[in-house]
Amino acid sequence: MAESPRDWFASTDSAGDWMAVDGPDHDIVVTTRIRLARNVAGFPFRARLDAAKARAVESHLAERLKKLELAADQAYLRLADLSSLETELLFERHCISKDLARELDGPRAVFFSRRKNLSVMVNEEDHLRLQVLGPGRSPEALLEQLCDLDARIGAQVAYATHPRFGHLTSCPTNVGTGLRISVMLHLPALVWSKEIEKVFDAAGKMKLAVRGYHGEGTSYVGDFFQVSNQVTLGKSVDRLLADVTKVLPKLVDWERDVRRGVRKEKTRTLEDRIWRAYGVLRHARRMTSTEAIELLSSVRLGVCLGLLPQLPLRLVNELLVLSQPAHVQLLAGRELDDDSRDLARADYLRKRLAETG
Amino acid sequence: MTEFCQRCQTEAAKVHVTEIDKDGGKVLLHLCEGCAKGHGLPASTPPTVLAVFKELVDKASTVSRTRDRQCPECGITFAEFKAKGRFGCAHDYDAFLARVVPLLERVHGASEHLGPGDAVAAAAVPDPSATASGAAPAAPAPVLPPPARKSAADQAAQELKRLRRELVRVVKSEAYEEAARLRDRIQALEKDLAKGFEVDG
Repeated sequence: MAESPRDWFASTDSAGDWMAVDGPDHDIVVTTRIRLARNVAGFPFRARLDAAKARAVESHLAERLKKLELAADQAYLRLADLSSLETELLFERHCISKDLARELDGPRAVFFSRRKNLSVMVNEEDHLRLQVLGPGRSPEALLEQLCDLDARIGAQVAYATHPRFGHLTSCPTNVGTGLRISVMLHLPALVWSKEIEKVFDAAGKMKLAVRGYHGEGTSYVGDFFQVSNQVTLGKSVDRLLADVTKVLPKLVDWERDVRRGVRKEKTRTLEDRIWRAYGVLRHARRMTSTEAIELLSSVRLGVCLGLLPQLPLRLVNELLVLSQPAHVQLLAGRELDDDSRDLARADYLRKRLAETG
Repeated sequence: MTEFCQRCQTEAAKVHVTEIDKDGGKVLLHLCEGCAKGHGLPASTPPTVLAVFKELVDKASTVSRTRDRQCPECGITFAEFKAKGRFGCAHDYDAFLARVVPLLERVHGASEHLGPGDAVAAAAVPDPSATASGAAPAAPAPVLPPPARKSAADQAAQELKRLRRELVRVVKSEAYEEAARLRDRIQALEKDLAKGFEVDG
């Protein structure tokens, strides 16, 4: 019996699967997401897509995407058929964007395979947003996988292209390749030391953007940052990838240097912060999701520095996802208001951390 | 449940920061976005591409005072595009070509895609395993080999020369609006050359 597509996001076991727990630099490079923006030739873009045409785009794509044989667990889900909680679960796992989940209306859908870590959003800002998401620093393999997906969809769907500008997109910031590579980094030491501002400056000079935890338009929270390319036109996909990947080792070294410095010079302060965060997570009775992410960020640093040997990194990553609002409700098995969520979140975190002793 | 900013006590606290003070002690700050900015911290929400982009469009579109034309296909005007930062259809790129090109140059430092549009993503992601001995010949080359191109820096330098010549010409003819536009483009390009291309090597 094939598993239902809902089994994935209805299960709490797999919540943090897409984050890195091994491989080089997994302590800092959490995850890599690469996406391509595409539109279907012959249809207006979203800004001028009336309800009937939006339905037509959706069914045009549904028919073609469903025919692709990508993975045994592939699924095509219309957002209209999902509860708002299910939609939020997909968002919290970075399977769909904030815009698709919350901001946009009309017929939207997602085609995804959990095993392949890929998803295709339908009627996002562009008709199609193809993305792959993988742990840590594996961008070359991910890009190859994404290009393969693009070629397979492109064989079924006529993309809107231009002889001079390449792939045409709703927003000209995506035109050309439609490629956005976003690497999520955990940079607590750079934030503590306030050197993060210099990271922003340096990134800006290299035409890279630094975004929040959930990508564009989301908050900086828990010392997690997404570094991504701003330019999409005039360079090959390899070159764009290289633009992002060449700065990663520098950022990783930078964060490591600062970690070493803080550890050497402010040992007690650092330990105090980490153990305090652990203590609050372990004993608090009420906690917001923002507080949870921020405390987990400190604990994550502690785990990476070997200060909390009893805690596996995998668990910390998992708790980062499971402490978000929709996942707290999934764990509770019912919808909860804000306050009940904060109570349930604190309960759950206490329980999980108690298990590790 | 709203937590108020510790500074102004009026706005909701949206930026939460832990700082280490001079003595190595921990200070927890809860600030609103305004006070956080004053404190030298990034606002909790980074500027969106759209916001940055709007600024660029505004600059680029002081160019033309011609009446706002509509795209014959979707009916959108350039003003509407400016307001939302989103085109209405694929034809807009041609319908507003004269404005689109400088805009793309500002945003991307280029106004031309490399290689044929259809082959974009397929454009050869090199397979590191393919160099191993006995490896099967690579799959059929994707569409066209990449054209021999000048480096981006060369292209930019050439474009810069062209723009400077153009600037001299329009100043002579007293077309100051056009001259201002050219000046902005030249400055942007010079900046790019100074920073971006140097990084690209």
